[in-house]
Parts: sequence; structure tokens; C-alpha cells
Amino acid sequence: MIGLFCESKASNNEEYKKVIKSRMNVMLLIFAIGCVTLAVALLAEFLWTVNIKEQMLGVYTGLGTGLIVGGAILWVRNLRILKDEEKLKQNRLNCTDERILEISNKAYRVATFVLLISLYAVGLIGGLFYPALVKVLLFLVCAFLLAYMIAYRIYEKQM
Amino acid sequence: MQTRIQEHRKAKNVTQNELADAVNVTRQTIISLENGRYNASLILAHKIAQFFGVSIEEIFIFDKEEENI
Repeated sequence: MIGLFCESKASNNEEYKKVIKSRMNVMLLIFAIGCVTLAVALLAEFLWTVNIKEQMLGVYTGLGTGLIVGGAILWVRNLRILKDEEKLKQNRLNCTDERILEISNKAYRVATFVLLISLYAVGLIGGLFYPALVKVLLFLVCAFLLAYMIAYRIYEKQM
Repeated sequence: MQTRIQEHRKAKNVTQNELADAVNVTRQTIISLENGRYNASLILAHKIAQFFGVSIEEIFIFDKEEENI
């Protein structure tokens, strides 16, 4: 999990501080998304009088709370890293070390393969009971492939 | 790829940690390079060669057969 979403080219602690600060902003965004999710769930139940299932209400509130808590914990963790030069250096090395980044890329490839196979299997079996599921999963696979092709073309021009 | 990092490191009395710090990688990466489990990028190879004051070829042994050349 070390290399997940933490790739950086910072060559010293001062450059890496900027990376950590921008990462803290992302954590604040996650915190805000969690607040919005929780607010939408609670407003739908108590104010908008939308007929929301009890189970879905639980999913939305759980998701919102998870994002709030996760965002807050990661924000504090990054703040602690920012204030400790030794932790900052260790964290920088973990996010810039080429071997760790290569391990991360390989892990991404395996995870992507497993994800696509899982989507196909769920679509195949789940589609027998819920036909709409096949459409949703096919859309997700197409969105993934489209995003891959666009990103590939962009990076192809850069390298 | 086989390397002579360990030989040069011991000759210069440098620890894996010190070398890792000097070339901005983790100690585990130095261990993997010494064991031949990981092939360094050109930039890292250059940094290591510069650290020891030798050419890249003196540190990294390129095996044509291993690379199917």
C-alpha cells in the first residue's frame, strides 16, 4: 500500500513539503465529500421526504462517515509528517523510490486485471437476476477502457 | 542484472543506509540491487556510479545472454 496514489518526483524535503500540503488539500476535499454524502442522506430522510430504503440510508451514512473519518485521520497524519523532518524524509523516499513505484505499478496491473474479471463475472451472473446490472457494469468497463486510451494518447505525446 | 555495488561499498567502507541516503532511495532498494533482484534505472545507475567515482559499466555487469542479445 506504500506506493498507492503517492508517486512524486520531489528530490528533497522542501519540495516534498509542497506535495504533502497539496495532499492535505485532497484530504480536506475527501472530508467535504463525506460531509455532503452524509448531509444528502440525512436531508433525504428527514427533510426532503424522499422514499429512501433503510438499507440505502445505512450505506450513505456509513460511506459519508467513513470519508469524514478517513479524510480527518489522513489529514492529521500528513500534518504530523510535515512537522517531523525524519518522518518527512522516510515518507519522501517511500513515494519517490523507483523500485517501490515499479512494485506499485505491477500491483496496479494485477489489481486492474482482477477488477475487470470480477466486473465481468458479476455482470454475467448478476445479469440473470438484474438485467440493469449488465448495462451498468458494461458502462464501467467501457469508461475504464476509454480513460485508459485517452491517458495513453496523452502520455504518448509527452514521452 | 549482476552488480558490483557490494564490492565497491565494502571497499569504501560505506553502509547500505549511507549509500541509500546519498542516492535518494530506500535501503531495501540497495539490498535488491546488490542481490540482483531489481534492475536500476539509468538515472539511479548513474547516481550510484557517480557516488563511487567509477563508470556505470564498472558497477553494473551487462550480460548479453541474460538479455537475449
